[in-house]
Amino acid sequence: MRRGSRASVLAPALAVLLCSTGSPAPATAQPDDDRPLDARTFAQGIDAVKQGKRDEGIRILKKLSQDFPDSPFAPQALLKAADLIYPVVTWDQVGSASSQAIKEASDLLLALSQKYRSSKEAPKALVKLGYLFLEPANPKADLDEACGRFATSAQVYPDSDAADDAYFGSGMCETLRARPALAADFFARLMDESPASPLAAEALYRYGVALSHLDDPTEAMLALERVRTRYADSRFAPRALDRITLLHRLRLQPALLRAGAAPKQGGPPPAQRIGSAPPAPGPEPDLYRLDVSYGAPAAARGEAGKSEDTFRGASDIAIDAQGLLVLASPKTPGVFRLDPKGRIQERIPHPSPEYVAVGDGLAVYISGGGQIALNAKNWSGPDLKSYDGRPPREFGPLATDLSGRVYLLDPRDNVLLIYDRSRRLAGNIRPDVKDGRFIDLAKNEDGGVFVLEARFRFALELTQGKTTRKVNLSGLGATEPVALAAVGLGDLYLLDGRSGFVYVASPAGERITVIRPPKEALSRLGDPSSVAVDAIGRVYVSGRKSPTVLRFQ
Amino acid sequence: MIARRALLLVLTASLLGAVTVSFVPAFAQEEEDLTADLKAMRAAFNRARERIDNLDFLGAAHELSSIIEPRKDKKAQDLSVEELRLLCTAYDMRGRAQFNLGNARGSEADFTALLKLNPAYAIDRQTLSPKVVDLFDRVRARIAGILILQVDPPKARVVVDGEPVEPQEGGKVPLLSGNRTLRIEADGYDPYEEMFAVVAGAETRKEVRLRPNRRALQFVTVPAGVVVSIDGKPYGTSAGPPTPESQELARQAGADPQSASAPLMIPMVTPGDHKVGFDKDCYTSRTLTVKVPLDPDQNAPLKFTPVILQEARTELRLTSTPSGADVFVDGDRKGTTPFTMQGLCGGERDLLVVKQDVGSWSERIRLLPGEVNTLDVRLRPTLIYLGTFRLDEWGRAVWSEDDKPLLDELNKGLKTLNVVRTPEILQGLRDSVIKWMITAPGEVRAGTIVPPALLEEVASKARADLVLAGLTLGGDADKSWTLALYSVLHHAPDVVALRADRPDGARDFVRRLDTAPSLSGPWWGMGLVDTLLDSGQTDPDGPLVVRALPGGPAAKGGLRAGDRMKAIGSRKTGSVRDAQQAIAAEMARPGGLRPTLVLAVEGTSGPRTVRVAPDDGPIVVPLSDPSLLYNRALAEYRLRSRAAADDVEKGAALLNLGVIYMHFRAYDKADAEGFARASLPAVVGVSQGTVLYYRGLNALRRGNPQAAREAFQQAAGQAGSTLDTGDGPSASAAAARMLKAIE
Repeated sequence: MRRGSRASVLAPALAVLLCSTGSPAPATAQPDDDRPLDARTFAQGIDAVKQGKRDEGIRILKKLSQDFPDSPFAPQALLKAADLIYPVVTWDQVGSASSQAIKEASDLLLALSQKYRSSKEAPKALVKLGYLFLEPANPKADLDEACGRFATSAQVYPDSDAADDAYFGSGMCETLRARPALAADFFARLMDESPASPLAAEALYRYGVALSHLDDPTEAMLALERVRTRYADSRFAPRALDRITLLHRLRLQPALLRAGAAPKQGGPPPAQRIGSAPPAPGPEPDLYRLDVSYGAPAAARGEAGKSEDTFRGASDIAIDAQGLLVLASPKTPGVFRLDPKGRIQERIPHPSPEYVAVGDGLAVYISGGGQIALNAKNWSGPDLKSYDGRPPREFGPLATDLSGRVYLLDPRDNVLLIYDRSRRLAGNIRPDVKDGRFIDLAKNEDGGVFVLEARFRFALELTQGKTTRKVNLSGLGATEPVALAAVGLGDLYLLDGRSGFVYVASPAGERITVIRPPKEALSRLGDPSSVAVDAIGRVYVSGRKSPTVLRFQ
Repeated sequence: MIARRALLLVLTASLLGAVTVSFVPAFAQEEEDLTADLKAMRAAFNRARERIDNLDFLGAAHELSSIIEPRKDKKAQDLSVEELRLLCTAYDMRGRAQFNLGNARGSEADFTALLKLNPAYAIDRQTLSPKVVDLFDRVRARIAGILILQVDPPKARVVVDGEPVEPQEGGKVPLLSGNRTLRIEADGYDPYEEMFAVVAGAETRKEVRLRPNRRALQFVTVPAGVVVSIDGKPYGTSAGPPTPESQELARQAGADPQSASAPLMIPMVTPGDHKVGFDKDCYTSRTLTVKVPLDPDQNAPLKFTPVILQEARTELRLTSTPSGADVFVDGDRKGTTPFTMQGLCGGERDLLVVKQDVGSWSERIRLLPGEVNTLDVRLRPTLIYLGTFRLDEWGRAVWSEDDKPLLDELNKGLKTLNVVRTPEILQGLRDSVIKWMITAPGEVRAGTIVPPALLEEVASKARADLVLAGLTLGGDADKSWTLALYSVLHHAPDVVALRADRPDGARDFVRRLDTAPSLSGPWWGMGLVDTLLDSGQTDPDGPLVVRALPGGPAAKGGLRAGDRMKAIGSRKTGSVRDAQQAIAAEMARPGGLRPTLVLAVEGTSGPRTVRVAPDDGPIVVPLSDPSLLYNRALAEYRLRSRAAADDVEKGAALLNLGVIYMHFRAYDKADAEGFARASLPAVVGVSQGTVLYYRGLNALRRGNPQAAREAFQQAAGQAGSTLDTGDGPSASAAAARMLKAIE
């Protein structure tokens, strides 16, 4: 897999074939066992695991590492035991480990990475330690610590089998740290040095995504197009197309419109520039138009509507992993998933849904009625703790991140509560300004979570449960912010409850454009309550009392 | 395999030994019996002679009887030559002994028996008593006659009653009286046979002239040294110096008499038509059709006028890329390219074109005599295949013959590589590898097939750039076969895993090995993407042009970012994939001309047609590509960097050289031998910005962020420069990102 020292490619094959000549490669069970005790103990541990005796296997392997610390089997035993306790091997598996497993695995892997630095298991141990530091249930969870482990593994062991995992982890770390240039470098290095890695397709996609956060949308779009060309059958090809479309809509199109408009005399003033460039005053390019075929009530489409086939108002909306709209309708009551044309596809029963958030696949978290439900089941249970040990006083807007954290806004206490997958309170955040008031949460597809403060009009970006950025939205022009949405590029969509306008802001908080629904549509919408954006940048606006969802494309 | 062969040899030797041991006594016994009989015969003969010398005729007769009696019923053909001689002499001596004992009848009987055995037996007329001689003659006259033969040709073989006879002086052949069959044979003649009667005491005269059925041909060639063949089969070579006869013939034919050969006689050619070929290097070959009649009377050789071959020197015109290379013909330096050599003899020649520190080209070629032979060669790297070695189950290094599929492919010849085939060099290096493997099995297990010291030895002895060696492991059931391709410039190999029982794997490997990486390729300077953001029209909008490099071919043709590509040529392009396929189809058109793409595009101002002719620009190998043999590419780029015809080619070769060293993490070499020396024009596409970007990246990997920053800063200013190809990612944007990353 790796290039560089090609001799190392030949060595494993030789080791396997020459094990009878005294190679310290793992031994397999032999009928007449004249192997050393450490080799036999290792084989016993493996056999126990194969027979389903996991705990027994772990015990034997741990004992081996203690009784034979100088054995060539010791690092293998440590890694194998850690694997059994903490079986996470890829980034997207992070998030489900218990704190007990995290502690046990951490101890083993730490010992392995420090005592056996020259073993081939050491780089794998470092990568696993990186994952452990990302676990929400890890009391020592720390993005910087995780990044450090990945970087060490990549830099110290560039020829190891875990190099691609290490580069990928480093790239993801830098993505989360909002350092897209560095992230792109790590992903590029993975592609350069391990083009045959199973992570190559995702690395190229993440590389394109990282570029999309920089100032050159063209490069990002071309990189993402390469995902579609080289890995047409991978799950990242359609995601790449989505991101290209998003870049086309929000980065390239404004630039083209600006360029096209510039020479014209008497035309509309140039659009506001994006990125770190100084803002230029003037009206924004008209990037959105209302999709009249979407969100119309069933009667308007001439279809006989039944009571269960419609909803009466939507207090909150979100976009699921398939790009479908999910809405909470307290008046109906129920949670609905709409198909691509805006028709009801699925109804999730709930007595009083107020807010919705989406998780992996078809998972829908529903907040309201003093609980959080996961689809039709109660997720929060009776003992969910707030910051003060009591239950949350009010179940408001919620969101999830890629590691499975659940973010719940308690409007009554004005606090954002962060829970891990096991419903343990992992943190809480309050407005850092006097009289500040959190009113909504938003999540983008890259895992960023934003909380909207209404009084001073700013948004906090949270990564891995911690505040990483503050975006000032006060210059957008919204008078009564009520809801927030976000896209992968970091752009924020602020819904103004008074005008029904949606203000589109760059990651720096600068206005890109304003979506102004036609009056007729606004009248249908009534009381604007929520905004959502899908992966290709289509904007959805709902009204608390309206059976209509407007879509702008 | 060697061990097994050795074992087989030992077993065979053992078996042979056993066989020898058991059979030798039998042979010895039999031989001893035969010689004992003859020895006893000789001993008895000697004793008899001694007794005759002592005048003990009775004792002599008794001794001689011990020789004669056991053999008296045998015929001459039943006896060996020695036995016959001793038996005849025994009869002779006993006849004389009998005569001296007064037994004339017994003497006569012995002489009769003697002459029946050998009618031509000559009695010692000088020392014997005239009476004995007279008795002998009388006995002969009573039972034998004499055939006096005159035969033409004199050396014909004479056979009487199936037994060869040798005529005595005057052609006399004594024969027992009676009817005899005479047969006379000679090569090149019809045999003669007749029945005739031999009258006792009489002489019969016969003159026999055999009829020839072949004829000799005689040629004189000008010059000498011409290979003469009859009906395609070489007979011999005419040789000098000329005889007076051949000189005269040459003179009469108008040729230089001193250049003529001596007559070349080709005997016994069958009558009829024959094609006689005359070949000599540097001369025009000739073929004569000759009609060969028989000459029953004289049977004289058929002589021809001298065959004169016209001198036909060939001309060799040789050019090379790069020029200025030394030319060696059959090991002798003849000049420097561009090179024309006249007066060269035709035929097969070993041609070597070599330029010091650049590369070489070597082949055995056939120069056609009398024609202008034109060769344009491109110097190429040299490969040596050391062979495939095997670590047996005990970890011992032995020679392996599992590489037959690879050898078959290599022996077909490579287009882009010279292959070292000198047996002495190969054997010496193979021995070195095995010796090293025996002394360092641990390193072999760690993955090294050819150690660094041996690479240096290969470089010096074989003057090779690339070293290929294989390794198989385990027993016969395991067919895994690892090939390692080394460059003599560094120590990391390209490793390819094959199976010894899959010849197609070896074929594919040789195909990869014989593929020289390109330095340039067509590019358009445009970037296309698919997007879901459409105009809402029924027809698909087509891929979106997101980049048209200013100054690039697409931009020159009028393509602009934001255009939608509706069609290329006659093919509609609904997606990027459609566009790629359409471009590939246009490029694959026969004729070799670079096509101009006719693009139907739609922009903000409406539909229009754009014509784009691709440019040819440098290309850069990827830092890692599993299908590429990086050491093969290294050898090629090193050669191209030294043989480049212009600065762009040289810059591109050095750039690629640096990338390949980076692939092997040889960052110091990447800089020193590649990026630091590479320079390309500051234009769009793969250009100076590309060089600067890689210079920065390499510096970063070397751990020199300051140098990396400087290089990236320069690269970031080279707008329009790209990576990979002219259609690759932006080098300046990548450099700008790296600057951010460093910061």
